[in-house]
Amino acid sequence: MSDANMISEFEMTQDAINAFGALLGSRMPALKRKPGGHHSDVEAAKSVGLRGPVAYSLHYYGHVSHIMTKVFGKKWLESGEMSVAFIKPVCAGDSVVVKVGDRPLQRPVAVPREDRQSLQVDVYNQLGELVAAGEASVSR
Amino acid sequence: MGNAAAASNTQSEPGWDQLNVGLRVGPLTYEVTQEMVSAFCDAMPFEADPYLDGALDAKGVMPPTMLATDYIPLLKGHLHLGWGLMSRHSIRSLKPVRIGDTVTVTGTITDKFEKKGRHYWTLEYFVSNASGERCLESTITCSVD
Repeated sequence: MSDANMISEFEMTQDAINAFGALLGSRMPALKRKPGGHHSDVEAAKSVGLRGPVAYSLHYYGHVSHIMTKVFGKKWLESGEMSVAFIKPVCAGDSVVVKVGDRPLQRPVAVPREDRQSLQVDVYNQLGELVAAGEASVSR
Repeated sequence: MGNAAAASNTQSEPGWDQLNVGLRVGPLTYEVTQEMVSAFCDAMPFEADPYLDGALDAKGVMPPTMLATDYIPLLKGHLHLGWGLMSRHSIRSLKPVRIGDTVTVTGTITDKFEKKGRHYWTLEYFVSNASGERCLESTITCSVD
């Protein structure tokens, strides 16, 4: 299974990271983020070994669920499961490509579940490096 | 949270050493609004239509990952998050959360461990609707320095 609906591509700009970080504060003012920190400050990010300010993992992981919603609709909302391992950080300025079902499951379970349709999840950066990978599935 | 925030909070929130497996966190309770869904979709960014156009539910629904960052408010006061990276995140969607639903988010620390000199914690957290039906289950494992 591979088509345009199963791919999401976007630029992880600093503005995008800031906008995403502001979400939680908008819902819960007590958690409103202060300026700085490794999501927005270059020096703070580099001090912990990052190339630059780091994106929130949900910011790209959430696109997997969005793809599954578009493709499977209510079935995803009522029986969806996904699990993703994060391999490398995504930083401000990176280009992100999220692919669902682009290749066979890389870590299939020993006994496949016949009652579920499972798809490989891969997230790449602009260098073609795998930054996150896992699986998404729905009931058949 | 960055280093500056970490330094200012170090004395006010417990560290990983003080975190107990089995600790229950929450509840957080709020109403899911159309504005919340629109803001989330704008920030991702992706189109809000699948959630708000009525095709999935007449009232509109919440993207299943919209509350995934709730581990942050759930852990507030229980663990100083400081600097860390997410290791793994899993989500199970059991029921749609509709626009207008009042949801409650609760969680439990289910594991803590050291690996390659880093400290990790695992939190399982759940989103339930006003009828008490469980709609979403999440498990997150994250490092904290």
